[in-house]
Amino acid sequence: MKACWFFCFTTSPTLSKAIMKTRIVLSSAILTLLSACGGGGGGSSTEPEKPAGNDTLQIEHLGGGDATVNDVTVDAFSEHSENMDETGRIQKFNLGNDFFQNPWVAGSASTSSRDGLGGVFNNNACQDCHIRDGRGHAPNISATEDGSDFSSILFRAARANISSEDELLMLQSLQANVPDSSVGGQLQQDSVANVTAEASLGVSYQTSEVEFEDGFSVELRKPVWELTSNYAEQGYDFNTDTVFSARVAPQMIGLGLLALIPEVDLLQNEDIEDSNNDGVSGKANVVWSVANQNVTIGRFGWKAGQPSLVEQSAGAFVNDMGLTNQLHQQGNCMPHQADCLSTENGNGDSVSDYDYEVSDTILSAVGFYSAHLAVPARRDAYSDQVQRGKTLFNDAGCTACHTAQHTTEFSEDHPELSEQTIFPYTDMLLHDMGQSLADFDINNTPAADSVLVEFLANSHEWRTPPLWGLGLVKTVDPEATFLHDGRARTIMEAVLWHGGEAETAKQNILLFDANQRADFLAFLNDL
Amino acid sequence: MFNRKFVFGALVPITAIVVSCGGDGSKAPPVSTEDIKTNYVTMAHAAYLDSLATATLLKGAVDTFIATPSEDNLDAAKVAYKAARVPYQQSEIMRFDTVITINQDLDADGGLASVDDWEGQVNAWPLDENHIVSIIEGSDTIDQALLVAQNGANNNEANVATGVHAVEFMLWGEDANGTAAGAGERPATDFANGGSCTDAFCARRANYLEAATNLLVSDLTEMAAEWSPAASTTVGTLSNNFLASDLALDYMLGSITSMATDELASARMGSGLELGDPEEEHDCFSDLSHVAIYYNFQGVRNAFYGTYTSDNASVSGVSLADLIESRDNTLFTELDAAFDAIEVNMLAIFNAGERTTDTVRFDQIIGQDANGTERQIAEAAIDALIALDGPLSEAQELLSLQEINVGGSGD
Repeated sequence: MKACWFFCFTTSPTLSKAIMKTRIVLSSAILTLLSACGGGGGGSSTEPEKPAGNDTLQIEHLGGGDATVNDVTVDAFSEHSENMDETGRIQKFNLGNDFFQNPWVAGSASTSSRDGLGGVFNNNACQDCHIRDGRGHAPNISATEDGSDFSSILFRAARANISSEDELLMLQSLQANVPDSSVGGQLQQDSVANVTAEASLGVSYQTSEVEFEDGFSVELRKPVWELTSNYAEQGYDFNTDTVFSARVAPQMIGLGLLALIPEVDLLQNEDIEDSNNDGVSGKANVVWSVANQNVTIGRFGWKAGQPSLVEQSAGAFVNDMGLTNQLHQQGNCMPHQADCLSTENGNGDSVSDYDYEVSDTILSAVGFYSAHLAVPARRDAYSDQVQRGKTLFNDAGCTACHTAQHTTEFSEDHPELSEQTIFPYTDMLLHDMGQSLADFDINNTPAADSVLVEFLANSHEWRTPPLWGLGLVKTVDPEATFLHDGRARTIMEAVLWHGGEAETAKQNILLFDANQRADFLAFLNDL
Repeated sequence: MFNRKFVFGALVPITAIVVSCGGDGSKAPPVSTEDIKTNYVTMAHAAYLDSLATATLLKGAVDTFIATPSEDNLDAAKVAYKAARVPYQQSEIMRFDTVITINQDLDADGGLASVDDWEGQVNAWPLDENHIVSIIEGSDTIDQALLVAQNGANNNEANVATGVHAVEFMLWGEDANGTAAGAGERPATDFANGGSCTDAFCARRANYLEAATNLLVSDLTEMAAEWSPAASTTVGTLSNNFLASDLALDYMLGSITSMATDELASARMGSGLELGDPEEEHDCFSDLSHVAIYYNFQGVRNAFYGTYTSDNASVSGVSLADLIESRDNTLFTELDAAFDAIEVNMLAIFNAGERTTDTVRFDQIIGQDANGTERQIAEAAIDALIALDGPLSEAQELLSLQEINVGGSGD
């Protein structure tokens, strides 16, 4: 039984948002005075030194601009924008948090706003994949973990051998892909009572060593996925040309800021044909907006397949949890899954009739919540070591994709996120990351880079993920792992998996000596 | 923007120190952290003892009702249930499972090992009553072990078979009135004995109600023991653990903040009001949410002011409020005024639910439009609860308290 399935007390997103207001300038002398005067105030906390308050040039520790929070605890990814102070907006954030955190249940339950889970699903609460609003993980294998924990990773399934008509629709961004005909576009490995789950999942890992020039070596683990259709015996095995794409739940911080990076700025960084010959291209995904019924730039998801946070949330509700909503009124059961199709729905609530399971208010609140989870401030951005590491990061060529700085556009609806200077370390564009990280077939053979799997994104391409919060990922959840499929157990492993367009940068990093490695990691861990 | 805030925020406590320390020799002696902790343990024990005592009275009323299933005896059991909500809801401020209670070897004394596990058995929500009905209409022998085993059955977290809300459902039944007046209207004949049962399940309903009530008493017995005077010197109890923790005050302030600004303002009041769905009120069978939330707020005040009062107990002692007042009178005054203002609105909601004419219960407030008198009061209470975050954060800084994760394991 899970530790928190009942009357869960939700995380307190607001608890510490104001810490940064004062602690930074309290000198130790003043703290001593406080202590001597009051007779002891319980546990004292020591915060690392921050930059002097009058140094206006040093803003890069505030990765999320004025929305940045100061929190280094396990709740570091669970706070709302620091500059959100209107109680009505905090209330909306809290409503989103309620439905992001608490479990959804099978249809026809008396808890009518929270029902309709499944028939088949990946998990029953957003927060159970995005653990404490942070990252999920690949199944770990250790003394205590047997590699069966697929609770925060999922697999997409798209066909490789498609008609030219279908390919044209994808290239026109009118269709994401052609789903597997037996399981659909995504494998759901869990189900409500009396429904057969769609797939069974397993993994083993092959290890290898990568050596730096000075002989220091790092062990990498490559997942060997074992994916089985539970309907194979009834004639519904995977299509032989199906390409699978493993996706670990990403962290939730700063997403509303990424949504407000001007489209023109993203497109300006495109270099699809690598015309500057730096080995790095960069391509925006262009996708179909279900909400607006038009073609638009993709921003969210591992291949930038979703244009907005509400659409990302709506897609996750229906695909990951089997919860229909205004944007996806069709459930996720396949035509031959009779048990799935016959489960009772959770449409409407006790007072309102609507023909889907997630009410518009809840979808909107979850989108709002997702937009306003704040980026934590960096801890030590201006120390000599971190600055040296930043120089190494730049000089190695990482910033060709991990663009440090953007400025968000004005948005009347998002005053906290509007016109902010931010430091996400992403260009939001797709890059070929090489064959080792590519999507794969049933035998774990990498798919060809000519295979489109999600609108314009091919099997080798991934959207540059933002790096902010990187150093707090393991604080938020020690089990969290890195990269799209969670194969990297540490940040350095993730770096060393980079290939394709990042191959040159990685080769530069492999020249680092011990001191440089320490500086480089000090920088990444400070993000 | 930030820099200005830093300076402003820092000036307040510094100024206060100069006034209270340097300027006035007649002030009371420094407030002791140990005294605050000791008083908190006394409060916790009193609240859990009262919770146990009222649950025991409920058990007596349930036993009487099962023996003689009359409408009068059902009403008496409902009255006993309502009385039991008063201390239990005040005790909830003490049930946050955090770094000071998780992985702290709580079962060293053979008592409860996990606060969250205990709480899940006592107070789980949301609860889908269909599961309870299916157990009653099934064939398994109904006893406490079955009910415990049926919690979370079929991998469904709303399949809750035990605890306060299970007892509530057995006494009231489903509330079919939506946001209109009226709670569940289960007839006493649902428990008829002597061959007059109108269906086949009266005896099983009686077994269920009895088992759930007995389990509640047994769980509260276990919790009250965790905070007894003897427990305070026994390793492995919550009381001993709390007294030994360097983060006890941090825990208290974190609990106050979480219960006020998040739990009450959000899941227990805000979600229902924003969605307009009466199933979001937590005491949806009995329509006693006004009691539940009012006494949750009293729990917040108790933890802040160091007081707990009931027919059986009157605890008052050194408190977080005293400590804050001794360090920064301005901040204390701000918090004190905010708690008073919230109390006025929470009491108004309570009274609207209790008055005998024009009664307005919380599910009716959920159904009111934006101009509804009680809805406006509830919205004002929520706004003020959320706004507590500012001064409570200042108090955290003032006392140099750490952030405590009150969100449990996050699983």
